[in-house]
Amino acid sequence: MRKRVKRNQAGMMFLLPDLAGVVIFALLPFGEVVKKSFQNAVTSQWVGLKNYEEIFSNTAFRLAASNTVRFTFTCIPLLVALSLVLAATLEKLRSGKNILKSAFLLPVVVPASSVVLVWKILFHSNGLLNGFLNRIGLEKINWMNSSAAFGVLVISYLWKNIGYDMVLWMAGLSAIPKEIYEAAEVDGAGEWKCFLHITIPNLLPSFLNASQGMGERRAIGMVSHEI
Amino acid sequence: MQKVFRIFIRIWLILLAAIVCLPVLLALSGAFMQQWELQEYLAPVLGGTGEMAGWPLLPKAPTLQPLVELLIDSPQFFAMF
Repeated sequence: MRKRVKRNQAGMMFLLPDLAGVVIFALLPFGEVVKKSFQNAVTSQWVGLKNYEEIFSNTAFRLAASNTVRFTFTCIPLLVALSLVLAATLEKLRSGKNILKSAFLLPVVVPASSVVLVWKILFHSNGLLNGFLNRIGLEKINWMNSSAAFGVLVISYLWKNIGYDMVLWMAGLSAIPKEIYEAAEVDGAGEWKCFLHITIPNLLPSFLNASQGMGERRAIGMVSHEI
Repeated sequence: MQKVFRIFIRIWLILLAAIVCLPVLLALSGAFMQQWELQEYLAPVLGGTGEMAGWPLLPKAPTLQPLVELLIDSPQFFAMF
């Protein structure tokens, strides 16, 4: 019993620096922001919910907030699902897996600012995509100044982040013991059943990592240069 | 049947990887283009002419001049990054 308490204390000591970092750089500033939201920005006088009333009556804020919610609820599920499909498919390949993995990871390491001009060439009204649509006899689309801009934003986000999430899923997939699949195959389970009843339950710990929406700003920044 | 499916999956993955890499490849080929060639391809986008933009995967007359200008003649580039 005493040995167990000692081991727990050692664990706590290892966790302390990390906890201190989170408290100092995340929790305390967040608390300060919450406190300031109830105060006057100049005089620091307590104003209650007045600041909240002000921003919620602002139409620009409401539009920005609704766009953020729409963007998050579209992109995160798409990113999680597509990167999982990609990781599971790549994992099944016998050869060429590393080359394809590197190809999907390439956008992660490319700074957004370097592809801004390429994005403009692709999505401009006289750009490459509209040129392609013209060639196959379709109408031009105003990618940047119509509702299609949201689609461009989603595609940019997926393009930039799918490789990173794919690697997270692949790490999760490689941790699943092969023996479970072999036992399931002996019992007559097909690939789909193995995926549903072995892969998905065993990947749950990787789910939170893969669903982090940390790259949102990068995608918005990349496209907002053009809008 | 399963072999055909595997080949189909492989082709699909290669195509998808090519699409994902395309913007980076376009930027890379642009790095080796001369000024006149860039102007020729980008005029419809940057100059607003009525034509449609084009972009080859390989430059007509490849040159290292833009890279030399950026990496050797512009110390500000290193200060910025």
